Amino acid sequence: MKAQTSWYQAVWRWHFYAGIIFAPFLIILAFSGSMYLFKPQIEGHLYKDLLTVREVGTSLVSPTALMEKVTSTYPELKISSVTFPDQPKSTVKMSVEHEGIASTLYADPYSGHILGIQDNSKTFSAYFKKMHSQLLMNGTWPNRLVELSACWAFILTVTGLYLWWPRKKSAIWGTFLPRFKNRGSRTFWRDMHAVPAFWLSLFILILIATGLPWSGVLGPQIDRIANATNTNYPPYGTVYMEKPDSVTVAKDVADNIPWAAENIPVPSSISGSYIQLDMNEIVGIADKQSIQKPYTISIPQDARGVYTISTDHVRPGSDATLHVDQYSGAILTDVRFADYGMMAKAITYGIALHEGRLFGIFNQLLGLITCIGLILISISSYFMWRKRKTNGRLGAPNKPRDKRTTIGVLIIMLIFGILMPLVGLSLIVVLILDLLVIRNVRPLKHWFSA
Amino acid sequence: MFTINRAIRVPFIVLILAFICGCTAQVPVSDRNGLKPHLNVDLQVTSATDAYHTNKFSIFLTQEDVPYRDAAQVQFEVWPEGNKDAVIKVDGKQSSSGLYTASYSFSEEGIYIVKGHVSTQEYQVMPSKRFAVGNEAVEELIAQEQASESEMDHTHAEHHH
Repeated sequence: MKAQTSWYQAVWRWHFYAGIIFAPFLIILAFSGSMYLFKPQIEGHLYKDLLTVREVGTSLVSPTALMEKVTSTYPELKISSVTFPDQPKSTVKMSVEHEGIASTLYADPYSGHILGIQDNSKTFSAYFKKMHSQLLMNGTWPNRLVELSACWAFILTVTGLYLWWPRKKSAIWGTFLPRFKNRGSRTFWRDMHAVPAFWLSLFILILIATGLPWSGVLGPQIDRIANATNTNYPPYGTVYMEKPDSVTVAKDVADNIPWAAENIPVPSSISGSYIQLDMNEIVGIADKQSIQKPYTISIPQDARGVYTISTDHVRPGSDATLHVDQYSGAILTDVRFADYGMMAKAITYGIALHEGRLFGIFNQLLGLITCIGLILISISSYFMWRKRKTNGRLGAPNKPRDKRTTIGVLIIMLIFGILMPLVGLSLIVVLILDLLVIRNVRPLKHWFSA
Repeated sequence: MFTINRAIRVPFIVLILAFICGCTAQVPVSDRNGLKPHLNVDLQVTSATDAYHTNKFSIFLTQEDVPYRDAAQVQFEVWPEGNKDAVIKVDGKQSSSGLYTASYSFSEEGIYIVKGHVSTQEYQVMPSKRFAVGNEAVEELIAQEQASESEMDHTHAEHHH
């Protein structure tokens, strides 16, 4: 029994410190995430004039003609890809570089009118995405901080479940249901923290797990595991992966004119280099390969590049990525969802679940409830702490007397640190701070209850 | 009881293994460059020596350096540049292994486009090239190609900044 209290004490100490440091970040992540969840509805309303056509016509302007219209209106603009919608009311989107800024151009495929150009970094979703992934700051380290917070949120959930675990039999109140009796008491705030946290713990863990494949440090590790187990995306499987070159050899005509140097008469006929296929032809290929709209066709970057056809589906399952020779139209690669390995499939579904796209409005609401819950859990923990905080001290739980427990819990933390490299790094920083500074400065030692 | 257990154990393990293997990435059938099997094309326009303004069109089809002989249809579409309505179609015939050819005599000099439509049971390719008929057109085409090439080099250089 004594060992158990000792363990409880040690785990609580870690939970306390991690919570106090990362709660503010988790509130930011939950808030920005809940906004981004409703991107389709909110942007659908905000940018209605760009996203939908005024009137659904009877005939469509051909993709090539639509692109020509754009380039003749804005001669300096560069189109890098075109997205064709599945809904008849939706506009055609083009990724463009306009005055040096990555933007999206919206065109009405019935009238051929250009409805507007939008700076990609200034949209509603871009703002909350930046908050969610780099706390609205630039550079690499804010993103690492977000990853660190997510990893610690994982540890907070696990340690929290350990602390929540009922130690007395048949204690429904305070375990599955909160005790409301003494509103404002420590017990009240403890229940407002632990009870919803228990109910949401599974969803919180799922949100963290499905967010990690994007992360900067753990993401590539997950990728490596998927590669090692042969369960990843096949080569050329997504638009984010490497692209092949076109195989049709474009010979340099100008380098091969012998009559220019020597006195040979000019021949009566000569052929030029290969002509790039146009957008209409690539759309024809996509339709022939039964690629379901919405899909995006990316234009070759240079003379050796390929056309890339990739689907833009809300729900995963019929994803496809094809690379097409820009001169001959030969399909060089064609990777469908069915070709993905097990982990790649899981990651694809996970991302859709994380973004609330997997099962419609219920997926979004589930995400929203989890976000609101996370914010409530963070706020209630603050009140719990205020109730504990005594004068001249931070209010951390005391160190357990038994040194072995402290070391035991530390070893568990180090295992977390090995699994999540950023956590490991933060543990090293904390241990160095503890050993070199906190233990040797008496007021600090007192304040931290070290 | 024990013997029955043993009897089902092996098929059970095989089943599990089959399941695990079924879950790994099914790397699609690919050639030695890691690409899906596809046709390589070499489209050529040459002037025939026997008659002035007669051009020979050819498409050499290969698959991994092996001549491809099973094209169901090869058709050359030829039109003056900028006037697709004046298109003429000539069927190509396999003159040697993997080489499909056709010829046509032009009454007018100028810059033309030839597009070879190849369809086989599995593949479809449609490469096209510009070509010039007559000395003046030849000079013009060379000038244009050189201009577009230097433009290409220019944009290419920009990408690497």
